[in-house]
Amino acid sequence: MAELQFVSPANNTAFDIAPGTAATGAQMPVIQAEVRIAGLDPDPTPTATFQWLVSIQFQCSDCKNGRAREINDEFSFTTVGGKAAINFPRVRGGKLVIAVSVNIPAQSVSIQTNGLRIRGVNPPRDEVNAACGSLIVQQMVMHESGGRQFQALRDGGVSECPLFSGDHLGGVGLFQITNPAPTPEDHWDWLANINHGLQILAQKRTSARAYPARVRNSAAFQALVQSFNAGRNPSAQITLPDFTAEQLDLDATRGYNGWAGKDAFGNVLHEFRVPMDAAGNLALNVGPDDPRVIAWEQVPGADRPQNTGDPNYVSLVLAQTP
Amino acid sequence: MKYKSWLAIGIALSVLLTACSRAQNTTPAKWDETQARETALAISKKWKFPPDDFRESAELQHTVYAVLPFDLPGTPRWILLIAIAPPGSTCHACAPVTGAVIFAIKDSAWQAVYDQPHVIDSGSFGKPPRPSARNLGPSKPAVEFDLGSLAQGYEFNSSTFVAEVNHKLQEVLSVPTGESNEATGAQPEQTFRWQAKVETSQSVHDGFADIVVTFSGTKAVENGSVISPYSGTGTYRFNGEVYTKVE
Repeated sequence: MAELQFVSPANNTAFDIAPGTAATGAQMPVIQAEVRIAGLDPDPTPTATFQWLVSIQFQCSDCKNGRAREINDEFSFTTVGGKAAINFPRVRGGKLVIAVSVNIPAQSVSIQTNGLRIRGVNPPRDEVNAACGSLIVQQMVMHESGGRQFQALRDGGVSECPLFSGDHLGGVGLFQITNPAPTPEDHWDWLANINHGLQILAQKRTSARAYPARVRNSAAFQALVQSFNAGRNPSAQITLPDFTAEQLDLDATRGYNGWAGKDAFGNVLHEFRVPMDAAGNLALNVGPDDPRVIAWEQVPGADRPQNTGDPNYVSLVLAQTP
Repeated sequence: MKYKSWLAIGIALSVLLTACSRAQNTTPAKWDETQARETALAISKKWKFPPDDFRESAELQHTVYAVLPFDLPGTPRWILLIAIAPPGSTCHACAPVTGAVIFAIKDSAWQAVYDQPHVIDSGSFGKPPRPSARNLGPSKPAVEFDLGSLAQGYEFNSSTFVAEVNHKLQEVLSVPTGESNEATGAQPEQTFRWQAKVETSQSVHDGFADIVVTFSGTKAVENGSVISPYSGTGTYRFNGEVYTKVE
């Protein structure tokens, strides 16, 4: 009676996704698999055609804080002879099953592995920092995830679970990508996670850059300037400047968490605001002939909504050591 | 005559002593929150957790973050909530485990009557959700945990109820109570916001009142491309273990 047997891998083996570098990203293991047909003489293994089906199954809710979401993958190939180097086309982790079948005269035999797993390895901090680029982005990644893609120690820790957010909203990985919904790559490829985070951050930067002009052109701001100039002759030339490069960085950082709250002009509350006194007038000291530039005022955490997100997000980001 | 006098004195003394004894028995035990916090912390430091709870560190910090009434009819009680997390665990993904110690009067003194290491494990930036005492029925004290979360400008709020079921604290219901994308900085016509009010009803099953969630506002539909009015009511009923939605 012919039967198919696995020579390798042994059941219950754990394979690790190598973290790679900031240039390569995560690298799936290449699994050297081998089966043989037992019980026939001569052994037909070297010339038989084998069908291989490789599947990876992962249920996020099997991990701490994970939501119910399956991330599965599957691919197949054929070999002549019982050996195969399994190259995974995508970076995925979870339960791995290798199923093999072969048609031999008068029968078809098949077998599959049991208990194989693919785990993630937290990337080295230098590689994470290199992928982040600027210091403030490195600090953001620290504040979002503690520099961890997977639920294990930073810098080399191994886990079968990506790091999911404690609010149970599915945020995942180094950048805790939550909205838009993280991709399968965001879960398993740390570099894809960072690149997705950088892309979101770039969108926030675009919104941040547009904010000063939006305020400047608003009727409410112009009314504020008019009110400021009431009774002044000549009127003071009030300029509301664009954000500096540093202000832009900080406001985009705020935007990554969220611009919760409202400013005095009906917009979302950014990292900086137009300085105003308790009566709601422009807080600006100008001489009668001096054109003046408004200095953007950083909004203190205490003036932000307290029950959503982190009111001190930016200052806590800046306090991180990547 | 002399015998009768002694008898009268004896009876009077006996009545007085009995009265004193009753008075002593009915003197309410004094609730000492500071002492209770110390006791709860000491208990929590003996708790053992499965490896999955704290893979990142073996060292843990314990903080009593709430003391709430948790009374049963005729039995005053307090619940002390304790956050347990590795030191420095303040990242966005970081949520402490919340454990609880229940105090009640036993042998005329406030004592810890039972404790539970793992009640919930949600939160963000290292902080647990905001707790408040809430009765889910005449003899069903509960803790409502309100979690407000913000990520990439999307705001999400939820309420989670923890009550005693089969002599154990457990999550009986978790419902979304609000959602908004306003903090993304999108144009006003592309933004949505809805909020919910969570109330108990007069209808009671297994001692637990039905929970009615009334929500209203706007929501993104069709992959976020359309903003539509969003309002309605959901009723949740206790089934002996947890609340499930009444269809």
